[in-house]
Amino acid sequence: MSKPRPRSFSATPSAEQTSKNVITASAKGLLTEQQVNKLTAQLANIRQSTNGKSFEASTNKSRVSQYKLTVEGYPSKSFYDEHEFINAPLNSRILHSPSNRDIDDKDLKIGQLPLQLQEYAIIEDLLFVMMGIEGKYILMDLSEDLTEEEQQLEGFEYCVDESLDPSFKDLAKRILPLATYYTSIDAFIEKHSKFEYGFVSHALCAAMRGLLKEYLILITQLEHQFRTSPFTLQKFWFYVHPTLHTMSNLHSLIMDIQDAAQDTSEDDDDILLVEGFNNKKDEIPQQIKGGGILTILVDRMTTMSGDPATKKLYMHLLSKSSQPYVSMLHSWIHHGEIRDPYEEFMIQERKNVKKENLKEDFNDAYWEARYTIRDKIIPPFLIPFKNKILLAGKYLNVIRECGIAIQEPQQQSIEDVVGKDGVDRTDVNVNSDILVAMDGGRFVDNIEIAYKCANRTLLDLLLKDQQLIARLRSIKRYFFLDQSDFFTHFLDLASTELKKPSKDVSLTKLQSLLDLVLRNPSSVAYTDPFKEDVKVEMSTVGLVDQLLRIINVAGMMEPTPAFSRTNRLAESFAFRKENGKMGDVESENEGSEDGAGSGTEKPGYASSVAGSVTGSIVSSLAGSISGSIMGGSNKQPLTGIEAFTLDYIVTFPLSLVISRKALTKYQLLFRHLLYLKYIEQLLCNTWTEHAKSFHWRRGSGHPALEAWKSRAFALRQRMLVFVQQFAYYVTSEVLEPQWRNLEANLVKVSTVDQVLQYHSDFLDTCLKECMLTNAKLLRIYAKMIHTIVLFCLYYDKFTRSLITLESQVETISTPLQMDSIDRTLHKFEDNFFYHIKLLIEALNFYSATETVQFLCLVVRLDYNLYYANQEGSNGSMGGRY
Amino acid sequence: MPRELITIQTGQCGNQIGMEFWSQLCAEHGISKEGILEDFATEGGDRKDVFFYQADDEHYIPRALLLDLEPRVVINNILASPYANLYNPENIYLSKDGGGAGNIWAYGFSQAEKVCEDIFEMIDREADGSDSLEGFMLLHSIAGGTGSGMGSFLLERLNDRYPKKLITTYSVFPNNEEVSDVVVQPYNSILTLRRLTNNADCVTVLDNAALNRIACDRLHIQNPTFAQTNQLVSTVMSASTTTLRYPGYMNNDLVGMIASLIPTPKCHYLMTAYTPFTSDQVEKAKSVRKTTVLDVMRRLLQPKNKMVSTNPSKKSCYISVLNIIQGEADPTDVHKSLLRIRERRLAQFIPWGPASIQVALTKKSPYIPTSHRVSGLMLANHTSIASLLKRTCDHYDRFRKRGAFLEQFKKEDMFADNLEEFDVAREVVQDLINEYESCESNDYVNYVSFFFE
Repeated sequence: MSKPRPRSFSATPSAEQTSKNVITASAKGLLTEQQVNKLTAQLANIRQSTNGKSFEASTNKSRVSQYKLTVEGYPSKSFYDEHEFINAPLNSRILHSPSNRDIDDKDLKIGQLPLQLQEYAIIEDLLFVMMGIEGKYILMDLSEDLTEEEQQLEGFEYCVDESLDPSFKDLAKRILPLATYYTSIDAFIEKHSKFEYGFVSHALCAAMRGLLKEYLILITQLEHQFRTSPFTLQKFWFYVHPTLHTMSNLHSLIMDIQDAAQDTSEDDDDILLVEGFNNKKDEIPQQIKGGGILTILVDRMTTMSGDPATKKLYMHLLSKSSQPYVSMLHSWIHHGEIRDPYEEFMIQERKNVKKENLKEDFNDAYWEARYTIRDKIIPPFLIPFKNKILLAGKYLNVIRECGIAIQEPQQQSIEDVVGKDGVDRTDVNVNSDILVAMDGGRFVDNIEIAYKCANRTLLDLLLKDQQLIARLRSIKRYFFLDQSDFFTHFLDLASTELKKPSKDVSLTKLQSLLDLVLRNPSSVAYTDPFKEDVKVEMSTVGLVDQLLRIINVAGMMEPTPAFSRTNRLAESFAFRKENGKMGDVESENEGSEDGAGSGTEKPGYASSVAGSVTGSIVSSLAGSISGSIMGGSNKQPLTGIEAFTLDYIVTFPLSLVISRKALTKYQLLFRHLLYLKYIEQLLCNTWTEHAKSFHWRRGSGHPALEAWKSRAFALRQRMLVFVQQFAYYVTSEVLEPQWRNLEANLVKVSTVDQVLQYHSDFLDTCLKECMLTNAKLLRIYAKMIHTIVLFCLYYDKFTRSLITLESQVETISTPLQMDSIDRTLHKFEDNFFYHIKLLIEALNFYSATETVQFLCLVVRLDYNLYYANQEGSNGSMGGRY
Repeated sequence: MPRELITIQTGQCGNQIGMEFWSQLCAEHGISKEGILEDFATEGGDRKDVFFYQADDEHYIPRALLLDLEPRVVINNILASPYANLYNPENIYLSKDGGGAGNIWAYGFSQAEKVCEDIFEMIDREADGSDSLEGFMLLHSIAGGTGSGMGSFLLERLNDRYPKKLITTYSVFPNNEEVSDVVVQPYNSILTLRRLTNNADCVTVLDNAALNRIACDRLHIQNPTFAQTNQLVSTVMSASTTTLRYPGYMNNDLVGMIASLIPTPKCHYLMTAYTPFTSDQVEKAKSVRKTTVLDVMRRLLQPKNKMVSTNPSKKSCYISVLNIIQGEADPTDVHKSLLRIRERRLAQFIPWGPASIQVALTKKSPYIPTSHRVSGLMLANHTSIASLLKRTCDHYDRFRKRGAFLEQFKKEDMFADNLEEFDVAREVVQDLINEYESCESNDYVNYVSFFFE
């Protein structure tokens, strides 16, 4: 030690005298037994008097020695010196304040004592120091830049008087870490036993306290040895050596825990703040309580597993401290309850996430967010089971929310679930030592059993009690129109209502019409027990707009390599330019086309340009056509049929599967189908008119007029083929096979999450294969649909023109004013032809990137390769007359 | 419920196939011969109200009108059969004098004109009894007297009275290859064809020659009886209406079905094919083993399974095809089959527009056990139908040239002064043949019929 530290002790005259006596005694050489005893007593006196303000432990000790002395018949006045013991026993707990240590007693140098006395003195000192009491020659090495508490946790460093004999000093220094560890562990226990550190900490502290108790017993025994038999520092070292190991392990564990607390408290803050928690600064970081502690324990245990003694120690600590955790786990997996006042458990519950929102809120995350895993603090031995643990409790909670009492799994049912052979643990990848420490790993079985029981109970609840499959079948009937007889009737009845702008449509009327149709005993839907749950709803956004919005948000349009996209774009524009006979519509698009030209050179912008250009071309095309009829673009308010959709009342727990999100997807598919049906009906009405009306059917004998009619028939046919083939595709190549798939999967399903997964996969695949998730395809499709609807609307005008023109026919050669209807028809022809070619090309292209299913659609749309064989330049179908 | 169809069966042939048709429907819907729903028929999933309505006492009554000018043979047979109580007696019309039409079109036509009031009273009553009538189905033969003459009259009048309702017919064409006992059958045919062309929206052609051929070749029945060929017809009829009776995703109304089949109003003659015919439908028929969707679809395209005898030329092509597949078909098989058919060029399509094989998958009646998994019906609009029409015209022309057997017609007012009616009819049919032939060319889109009535 370079410089003796100032220390506080009150030197009394008697002490000084004693030390002089000691020196003289040592000079005389060997001491008699009596002398030794006396010396010991004197030393004790020194101790007591100099260290008047020491710990309680010291007083105990002095009492012991006093007692011994008394018995031996050498009463000492030391007892009386210790007035503080009598007056204020608790004073001894007060630590020395640095100010008291300024007085230095330079006289007292241990080195001046004889060797034997040195050894005695140092053993005496060590015995104190090891209990956290400063000795006479072994002093605390207080560092200035740490607070006392921190230092205490770190463990006080001690320094030995420089003058001590080097061999003693060496031994003493070897033993001294024990003292450091002791103070540190003691402080740790003190700190972490506070209630806010949670159950696991408490259990850990209890275990540590047990160990400390044994340590203290050891010290007592050592002292006893020291007092009763010849005792050397070497012996001392021999006895404490194994303990040193244990203590050092405990200490480093504590340090680890401290480090963990320090490391994480910073980055933790942001997260907690972001999450909007009322995180107070003094909150205990998650990492040093509950699962965090267990994690540290397990980590250390695994890293130290080479050393049997250490491993045993950690196994002990782990098995003790994990007990509260295991009981929490138990109550969670068997009862679905979280008994976790200190937020130690790996599962957390958010009470504000309510199941009621499932029905209302599209983005509601009840299932995902109500119970979540605190990922950072899962004990490693539970990581392989974390999902099962989460699910087991989650399922139980769902069951409880349904008002069903949860029972502890009975042995019988356990055997049912698990089978007689018990749980198969082959897939469990957990260190077997840890399993041994954790009650022989029974928790693994428990988790497995609890998970399977909860899973099966909930699955039974969903599939049997709540008739999930029947429900889905009923939803399929209404949303996919798989037996659409009722719907044809409904459309017939509601056609006038649905023609109105959506805001004028009376929902009550539609609902009563729907009910009427569904309750008709001759309807197929009549036998459906769930038909009461179907409700009519009006959407505020058009289907395509809604889908595009979703695509834009979700980014479902997959980023294809920019290169191919650029190519593709160039191609489509080449095609577009070749196809240059779009009449007056064409000129409007020149601007946007040029824009696209520059866009192709910048791959980065390609995709957005592609979208917007197609959009603008198409919308301006359609706009110009519709503009001539309705005097506006497609920003019209929605009509009833465009906004019409169905809703379905789902109750908990079915709303887990059929959530608002799933229902929204069903609605999207429904509106897609509905609109196809509607257009089919429009075209069929046109067909009926063509077939039944005299003017269309009978020949007028005028060649130009007849040819024009033929073309109108052909265009109508093309549109009808398109719509019907599209509907065939959607229903019999997407919905029905996917549905069968789902049904087959649901029969053999074994977990609830599989049910959810299959169901959402089913919907996603349907949406994708119905090409509702691709912005480009969707836009082309929307424009085609728009053209068809306009054609059907325009049809009345055609008929009127036809009648007027027919009346003018007198002879075959009568010239007729057909320019206007001829041009309009051409515009429709060109527009339709252009878009269907574009659609087929796009489908071919996207079949490579999105789904091969599109190829089926291509086959259907162009089965006889009519469009494929048409030259792109031949924009108008057939020649003009 | 919506989209009802009223069946009008006229004449001997019409009533015979009608009878088979209704017994087939009853069996498929689990309705007993008295019209009562059988106890086992609870599975649902079917729509009976397109063809039946319920009387006050839960009887299911066919929306059918049984018309004949000659009560002796057929209708009396029906009334003596177990199905006698099925029909609404008010819907059976028998000519009071019971003379029949004597196989003369003109007589049938004029007779019908006389009893027009009575008949339309019945039709109106049926039409009023339905919520949203979709159309009429006429069952008749075009060769005889009542079916053709009365049928023609009804076609004309129905169009006037119900201008927006679809009129479909199942018309039995005579066997041209055999000597018929009806000598004037070419006259009858040509006159009926005019009405079928101008007044019907969809004509399903059932060719007796082909039916006999199928009975002999495919089913190995020597000298098939009328009852047996009629079973073929009723099978086709019931199959072609399955999508209406067992609703699925698509084709739940008649117009949706035929609109795509018939692109231009005039070309509305459909031919049919059905496979497999087994003993389930026809007694003593040989069973066909393998039925996959592809097999069924391929067999449907084979000429020998077609129920119309045509002589397709190299240019003949399909204008449109609708396959109705009944049974447990896997929807994914359909796509494979479509591809295979296209690869093998099993079907040729029009060059002037998109055309495809539409495939409607429907359920099979749960009440009729069948030995095969899948069965199929094809409804096709094929240009080779022109050859059948041509043959009819040839026969007519031969008779007309000789002026044979015209006396009977001249007895009626219609033909008293001149035979212009014949000429117009012949021209209408010729125009139709022309249109069908031009359908085979690329330029049909610009086709102009110069025919002008």
